[in-house]
Amino acid sequence: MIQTWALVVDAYRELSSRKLFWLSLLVSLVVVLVFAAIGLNAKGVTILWFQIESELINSSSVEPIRFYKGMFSQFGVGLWLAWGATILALVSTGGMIPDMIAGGSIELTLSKPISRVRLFLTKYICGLLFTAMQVTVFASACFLVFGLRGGVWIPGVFWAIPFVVLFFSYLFSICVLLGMITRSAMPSILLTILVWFCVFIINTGDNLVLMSRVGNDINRERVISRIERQEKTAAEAFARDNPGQDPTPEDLEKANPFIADNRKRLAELDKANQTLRRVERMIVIAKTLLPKTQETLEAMKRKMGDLAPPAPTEEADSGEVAIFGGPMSRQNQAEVQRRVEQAMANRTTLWVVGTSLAFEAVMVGLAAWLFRRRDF
Amino acid sequence: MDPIGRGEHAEDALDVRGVSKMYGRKVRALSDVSIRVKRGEVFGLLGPNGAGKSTLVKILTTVISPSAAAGHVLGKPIGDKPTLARLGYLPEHHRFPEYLTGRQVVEFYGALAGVAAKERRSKASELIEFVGMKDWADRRVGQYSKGMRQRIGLAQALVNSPDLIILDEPTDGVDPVGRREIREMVQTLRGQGRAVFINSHLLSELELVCDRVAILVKGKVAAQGTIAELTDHRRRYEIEVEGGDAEGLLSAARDAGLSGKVEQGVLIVPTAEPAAIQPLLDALRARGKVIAAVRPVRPSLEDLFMEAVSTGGGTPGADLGTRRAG
Repeated sequence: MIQTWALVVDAYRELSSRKLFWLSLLVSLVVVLVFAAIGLNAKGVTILWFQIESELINSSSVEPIRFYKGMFSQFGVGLWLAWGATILALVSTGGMIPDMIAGGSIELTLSKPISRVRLFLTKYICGLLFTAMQVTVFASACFLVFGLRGGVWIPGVFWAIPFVVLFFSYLFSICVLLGMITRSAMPSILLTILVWFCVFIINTGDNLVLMSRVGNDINRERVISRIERQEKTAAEAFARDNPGQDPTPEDLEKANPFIADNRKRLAELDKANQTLRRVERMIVIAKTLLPKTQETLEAMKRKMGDLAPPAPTEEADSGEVAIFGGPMSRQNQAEVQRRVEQAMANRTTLWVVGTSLAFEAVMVGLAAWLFRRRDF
Repeated sequence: MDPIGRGEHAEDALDVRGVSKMYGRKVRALSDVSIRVKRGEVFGLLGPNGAGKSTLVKILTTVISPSAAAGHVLGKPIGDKPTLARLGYLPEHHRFPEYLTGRQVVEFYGALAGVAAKERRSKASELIEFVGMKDWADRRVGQYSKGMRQRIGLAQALVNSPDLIILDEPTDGVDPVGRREIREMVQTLRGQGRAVFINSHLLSELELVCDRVAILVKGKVAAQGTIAELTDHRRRYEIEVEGGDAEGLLSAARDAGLSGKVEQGVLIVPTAEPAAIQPLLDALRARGKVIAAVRPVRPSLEDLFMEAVSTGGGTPGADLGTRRAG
């Protein structure tokens, strides 16, 4: 316990001796002050003492609690904590392991009666404490600002602490492994950001494929429903002309030539659907193996509990959904959005966090194994 | 088993045998090294650059793992982590965290060695005074000179009251006054019954303070023992004779029943006994030679070191101390 506490205190001294630590806290404070400056009333939005009248955003159209939660999750977490603060934290903590294993320093620590694995894991956890401290300060300040300024007390903002630390821990585990391999802070930080970018690209690909597949599903459903309606009408016409006879598909197509076109269209959609589902499966497998940064933040938003998907819109045949841009009715957009969010929500927090933690465990395990075996 | 470090190994702080280290399949850093350090003894490890001194020290402190090793450190097998609580270590080219003050450095490494907070604080103050850093203790290490860092390094190596202290180039970067103080500190530690293992290039320093030394050359122990043991059989007399020709001098030596050689007109006779050269002096006088000087010569550690290095580890009398001690 003496040794662990000494390492924790030392990690705090190390991190707080870096300017980035204080810079990060300062920016967090600025973000909180920006939140404090923004208010919501019946007329619209207030920024400091300025009133911006809006019919779209005011306390009648948007519940204040939803407004502040949205602001916190979209800007506070989505922009600042998930990007700005994370990069600053990576830069601040990226040197921890290379510094620890640097010649002249590592000999002193390894010659003490503490196991290498324990030493490494303690250092790793200390690195995560950096983010935990930053997020705790930020979430607490936001909680107070929303309560005092907006009159809404949102304990849900504290969900940001475990989820943002989790999010950072995936990246930190990569950084630690790379730091152990390269023994240098800068390459490990840059390579970690590269891996993060790759994860982001895969995630974007996942979103696009999912949206395409959902759009394709909606189109299929609509074409099927159209065919059914047309077949019903054609069957009734056929029955009137040929009482007592059952129509063949050809009879129906003869009665309504659009049925053939729609069947052809359906076959095309089925083929595309198979391809999209295959790609989707491959992406999901890849994502299962990789850390899920974006989904972790989405899971946090779900836990905060305000950002439920928009209510389902009325089913209506308003034409096919335009995939990859192109014109799309609001109704179709909302339907695609709803189903995509539903599909995302079906990826349980357990799957998102569990598989990401498994990835992290592999990274940390490899780094610990290297540290344990290496001669310094 | 000797769980408390007494009995069979009670008098040895360090007794390692057959220590070898291979880097990959081709580079052999250490080859079958055996070294013994007794409690209350100052032991010096010498060797040229690349001889494997630091490798040996790192094996003893678990910083690297040996390819093969047997024996004990403070009564426990090499690599036993809990034993490190009783070992102090000052590495060469150490790098203390620059955001810490000298006092924090001593306390931090004391904590890592498992020393309780209260004891750590009082010990740190005591040691900071011992190494002469009282006025600088609460300043950051980043502001220290090399010599100050060495002193703080020494303090951190002692904070856990170790039974065995390993100092790798302890006087590196320290001025002559500081060196003398460090030498006195080492002697104080010996007086307290602790074993001090010093790894150094400064042969004259070691000669002044070490009870026993080992010379490591190309990963092998070339010689080991007390300085007297290692130098006794190399003691000689140098006899300077006015106008003495080499053949005449050697002839006189042969007549006196001694062997010798002549270098720059000086007759060198390999003996440490004054009685043995008396017949030679008589023979020289009988031949009408004027004896200008008779000097007993004892080789220095440096001579021994140079001889070991030049013969590539095959020094006559190698492992003398090991055989005698063992």
